[in-house]
Amino acid sequence: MNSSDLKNDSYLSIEGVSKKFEQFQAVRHTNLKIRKGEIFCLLGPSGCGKTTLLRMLAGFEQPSEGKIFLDGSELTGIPPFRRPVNMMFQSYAIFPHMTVEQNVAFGLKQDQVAKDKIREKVQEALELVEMPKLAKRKPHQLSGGQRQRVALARILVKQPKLLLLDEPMAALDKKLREQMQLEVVDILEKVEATCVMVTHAAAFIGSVNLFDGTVIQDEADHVIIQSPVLKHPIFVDHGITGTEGMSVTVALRPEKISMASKPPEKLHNCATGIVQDIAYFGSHSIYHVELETGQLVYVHLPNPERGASHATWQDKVFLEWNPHSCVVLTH
Amino acid sequence: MIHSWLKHLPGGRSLIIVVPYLWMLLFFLIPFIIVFKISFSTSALSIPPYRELLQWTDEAVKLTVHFGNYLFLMEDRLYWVAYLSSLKIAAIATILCLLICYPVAYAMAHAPSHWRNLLLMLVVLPSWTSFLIRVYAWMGILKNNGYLNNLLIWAGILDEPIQMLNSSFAVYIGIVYAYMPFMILPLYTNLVKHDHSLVEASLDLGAPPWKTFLTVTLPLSKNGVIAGSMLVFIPSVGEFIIPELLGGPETLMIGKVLWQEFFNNRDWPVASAVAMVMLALLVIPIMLFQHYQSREMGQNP
Repeated sequence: MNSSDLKNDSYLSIEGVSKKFEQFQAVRHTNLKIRKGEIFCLLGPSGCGKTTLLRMLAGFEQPSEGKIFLDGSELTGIPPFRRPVNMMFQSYAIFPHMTVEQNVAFGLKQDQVAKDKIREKVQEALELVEMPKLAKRKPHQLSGGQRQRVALARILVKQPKLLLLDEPMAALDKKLREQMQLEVVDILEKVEATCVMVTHAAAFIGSVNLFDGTVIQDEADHVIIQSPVLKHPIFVDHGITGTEGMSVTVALRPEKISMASKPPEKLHNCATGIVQDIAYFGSHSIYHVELETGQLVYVHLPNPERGASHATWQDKVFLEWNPHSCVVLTH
Repeated sequence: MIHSWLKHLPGGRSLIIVVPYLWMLLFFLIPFIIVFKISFSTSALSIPPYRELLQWTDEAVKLTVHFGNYLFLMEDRLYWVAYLSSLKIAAIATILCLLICYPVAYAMAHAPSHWRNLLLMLVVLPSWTSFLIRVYAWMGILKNNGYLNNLLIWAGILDEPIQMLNSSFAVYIGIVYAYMPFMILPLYTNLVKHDHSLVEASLDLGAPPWKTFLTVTLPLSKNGVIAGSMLVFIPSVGEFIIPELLGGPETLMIGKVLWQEFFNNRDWPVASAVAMVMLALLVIPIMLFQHYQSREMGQNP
């Protein structure tokens, strides 16, 4: 594996980062590489250092060891107000003495953006989160979900290189949470933001497809993995630190899989199955596809225009995905 | 029935409210009415030294309401100068107090939590000794052969002592010193409740620390600033002991004028009128404060 290749490939790179508070090791020697446009979830039980890692990315904590690079330049040592990074706080931290509009405009004002440009961008951001009518409201007149949208608009409007979301759903009740999860991911994908998110909301990742398998070929630039639940091998276009014959798990996000009614013309990264269930979520649907081997695969697709043909219950469908959509998890 | 009349007895809740109201009625409202009444009277060589408003003469009740005292206050420049100078001294002292106490309160609110109670106690600690003794202590510090002058001469900054006691400077020192706890406590109570993530959010959105302070921390502590300023300003206007002991001939404050009218001139009616006008002047900022606070409360149910 060539490390310089990897550096070009990764947008955010966390290299050997540790954080030690007086008596307590919060983060231990962490390495992470995240690509541009990726939404990366940090998962784990509370107290395992997710938030500390996020706060180091935002600049509120300095790592005791290691370095952080973003888009080729070092981030470590730069104070939070000079970083091209914006964070959405768990409590949303909306300024209570400012209107929705003023809250969203706050970050742009710090960048000395021209007044009419600010107005335009704020309007755009509020439209993106579907809040333009509430621009003049004060935060205490907003519901929990609306506050979350304001917090999201406030960081999106700055178009930072990296978005950080600390438990974005924790302050919402369960019903709202389910709805907002889809909306937040939807908005983040629309603006093609690179995003690191701390969550223990299972639904954010609950439907990630995991395939256990064995490495059958390991090269510097690609790996081929054979999984017992898939007929064809999985081809991954980046190297891993492993050896042939080692067992790994391949994670594949449901929205990275495409679905067709005709078989693809390739013999890897594809599967055939029957639609067992469709869950409708407004702009998206989640398809439950059962493969020939009995494995259930989740596919997350945008809903087509009315009248367009689409797979339905018990249809035979062909699934495929790109080599770079796979994430290999070593055991 | 016993039950029916028991219902008309005040419950525990209203009893608790009745006690302070009764106290206020006895020791504030009634004296206020008496002073108000005297201010419409004329002085007389009697005990007490004023004429009653209601007089029983020739089988008739005669009510004499005398506006002369108020007219006198308006005509004599001395009183206006004293009122304005009191307001000016109180305003400047309040601003100085705010500038000194804000950083103190801020540091206390950001101190480690196990330190905070100790720091709070230290702020209140001087009030455990007599106010008068503390003002006398300042006289000892500020007089010509006092500690401060001696220190400055010893350090080579001064060749001969400068007049600090019995000047406006000493009055400002006295007022700022005496009312500091009343500024620090409301500011501290406000600042300690601030959500630190708001400061972090401001930094994160690109505002450097000084700008974060001006755009987030300071506006959010507005209520503490107003409450502290009122607690310092209102009693400072009528302050008597500090200008009497520390002030000089040029410090003209209404509290001193009031005292002179009462005790040197023994003109109770004019003195009462002076007190009434001072109250009226102070009621305006208090009402503004109340109005402002109730609007604020209405916004944050």
